Amino acid sequence: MGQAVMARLGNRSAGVRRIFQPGRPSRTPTSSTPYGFSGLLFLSPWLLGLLLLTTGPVLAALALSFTRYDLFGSPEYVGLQNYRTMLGDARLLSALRVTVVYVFLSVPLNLVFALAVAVALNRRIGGLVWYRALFYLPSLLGGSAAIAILWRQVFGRDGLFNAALALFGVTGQSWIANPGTSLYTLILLHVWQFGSPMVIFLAGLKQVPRELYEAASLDGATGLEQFRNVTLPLITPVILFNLVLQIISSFQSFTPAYVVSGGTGGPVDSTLFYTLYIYQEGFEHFRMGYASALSWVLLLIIAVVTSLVFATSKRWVHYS
Amino acid sequence: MSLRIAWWGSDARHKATSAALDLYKKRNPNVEIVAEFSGFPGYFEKQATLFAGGNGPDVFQQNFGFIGQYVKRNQLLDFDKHKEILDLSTYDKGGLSQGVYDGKRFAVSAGANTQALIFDPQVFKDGNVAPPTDQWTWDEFAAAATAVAQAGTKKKGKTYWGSDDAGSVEYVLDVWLAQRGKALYTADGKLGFSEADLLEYWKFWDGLRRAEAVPPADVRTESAGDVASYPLSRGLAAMSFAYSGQVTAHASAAGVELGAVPFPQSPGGQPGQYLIGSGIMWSGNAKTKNPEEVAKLVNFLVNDPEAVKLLGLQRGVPLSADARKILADSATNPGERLTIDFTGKVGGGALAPQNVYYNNPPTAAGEMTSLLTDTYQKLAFGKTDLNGAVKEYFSKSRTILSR
Repeated sequence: MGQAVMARLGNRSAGVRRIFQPGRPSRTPTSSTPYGFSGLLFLSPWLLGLLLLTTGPVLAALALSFTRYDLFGSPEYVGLQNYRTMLGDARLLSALRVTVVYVFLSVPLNLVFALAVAVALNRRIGGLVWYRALFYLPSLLGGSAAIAILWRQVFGRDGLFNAALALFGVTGQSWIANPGTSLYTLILLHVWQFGSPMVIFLAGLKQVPRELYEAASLDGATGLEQFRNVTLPLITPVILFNLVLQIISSFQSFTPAYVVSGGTGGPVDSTLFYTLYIYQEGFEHFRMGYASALSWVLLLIIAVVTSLVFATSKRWVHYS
Repeated sequence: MSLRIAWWGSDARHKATSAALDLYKKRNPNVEIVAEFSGFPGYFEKQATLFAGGNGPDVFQQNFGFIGQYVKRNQLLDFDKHKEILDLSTYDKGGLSQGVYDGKRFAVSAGANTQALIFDPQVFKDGNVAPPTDQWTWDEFAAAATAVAQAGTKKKGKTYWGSDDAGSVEYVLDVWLAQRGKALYTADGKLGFSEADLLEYWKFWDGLRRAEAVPPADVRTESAGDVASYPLSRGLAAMSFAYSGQVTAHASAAGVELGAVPFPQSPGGQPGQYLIGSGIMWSGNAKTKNPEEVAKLVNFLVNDPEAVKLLGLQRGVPLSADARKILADSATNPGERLTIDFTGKVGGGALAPQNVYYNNPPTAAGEMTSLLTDTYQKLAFGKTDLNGAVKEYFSKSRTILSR
């Protein structure tokens, strides 16, 4: 029996080696071995979640998108009608406009900010651990409704921001209740939550070999030149990773707009995120079929934008 | 055995209801009660989703604007089948007709309300402006709002407004129309007023906003939601349009004693005001496993003397004469007294005939409420003019109501 255990242990360490040596041709890591099965078992919490909570509903939504469904009765097949309705839907157009502005402004700003903070933190200063935790804090709180409510307080008419302006003799308006500025307060909220990309950038910065900086400074490169010619090219894979993650999550952003606008997407549809429009159609107006069709179009939009990013990445991402 | 009960409301309502339910649990140790409460935003979206999944609560707080959807889809328990448990014999006759569809009782009123113009008397006194009366006309209201705004601004040293802007408030438009012999909806679910009516209404509020008698669009937008965010509650305005059951909530948010009078009248003197017997109701789930227990719990909430005292006026003035008497005898707070007296004064003991808005609103009533808010907001933010806003409202409403 002891021998059997030893044999298994031996086998297992061979498996570990296999994983960490991707270049080596693998033997037979299929589910016919007992380890394939335990692998699946370990994966199962995630796998079940993916199948039941993601793939299932996504496919169900595809089916529902060809129906008229009011949540209570049974879905009734209507063919492509929901997709045709979209073509003449003025609110959908404003939702798209709002979402595109949100994604295209908040993602670059967020990444630039995250990278700047990461660079600032990537040096030998005392209490670094604390700074890192501190800067990460907004991201931990970020997705919560509480922060969105805080945002209302900060940028409301009687909010902190106006109180600060008042010190300079400026009388502010309500920034969240004004169609001209409300979306920008949400963009600011997103930029403020730079924690996750910052941590990933920090990890990337640590990977840049010190010798390169030493060599660069011997050649007389200034700090800025070092950043542009050494740091930036070497972390392009990390930038790509962050960019893709941020684009996807920004398109899917819902909570800030829902909480700050009280679920309306107002004032005057100025914060009507695409996801918020889906929610209103599905759960407020009980047009679940139309909402499902909208969701699928969003999925396609995200897929197209993401693949465009990947397509351009060949030109600017360097894997050394 | 366990019962799930859901409601929306303010903190005060949550506390009162939880206290009553605790008492029920104490008396019925075999019953476990699961309470699910929240604010109004999102409440009906959540219920709809729960019901669609076959997971609706056993008892839930119902609203006149939403009940139609549940009736249409056979989701509600017929309380008439449990008459011997749920006793409505002390209810006002007029109020009993509400919540009944096709001869079946799908809801029981949790309290009557009426429209109330609430105001801060101190501000009127300080500004030497005559306070609102029971017989006020809209012109008098407009003049006083303008005067109080100026006086308040001078006194407080910052911009102060005479009244809330009711241009997007559906229940004010409802009364305004009733005063002109019109209504929001006809019995067959079409619009009950013309473009000229809406133009006149919006012109009135647009003028007041331009005269700075009512708040600008951004302040008004911030007032969407709970009572505490209204300009009156925030100490920014002297008058507000509310339901009588909200007087105490407004007063505690504003931190002052408030007065209440009926909405202003049209020059012809038609009040247009009426008692809403069933603004807030209790409904049961048709699919509940314990229909008798549901009837028993609702009976407790509307009839039991201890429960009536604990629940107070959080959902309006009870339609049961016995319950009303209990509350009138025990009311200590001036706000409560005001609510009971005022609601009784308008109701005159009996319920005035109801209009379609409360009795049989179209299925898309919720969407129509949003349409009024959105279109008026566009006007207030200067994104469109009066004629453009009215045109947009009518063209969009046709789409919504014909769906």
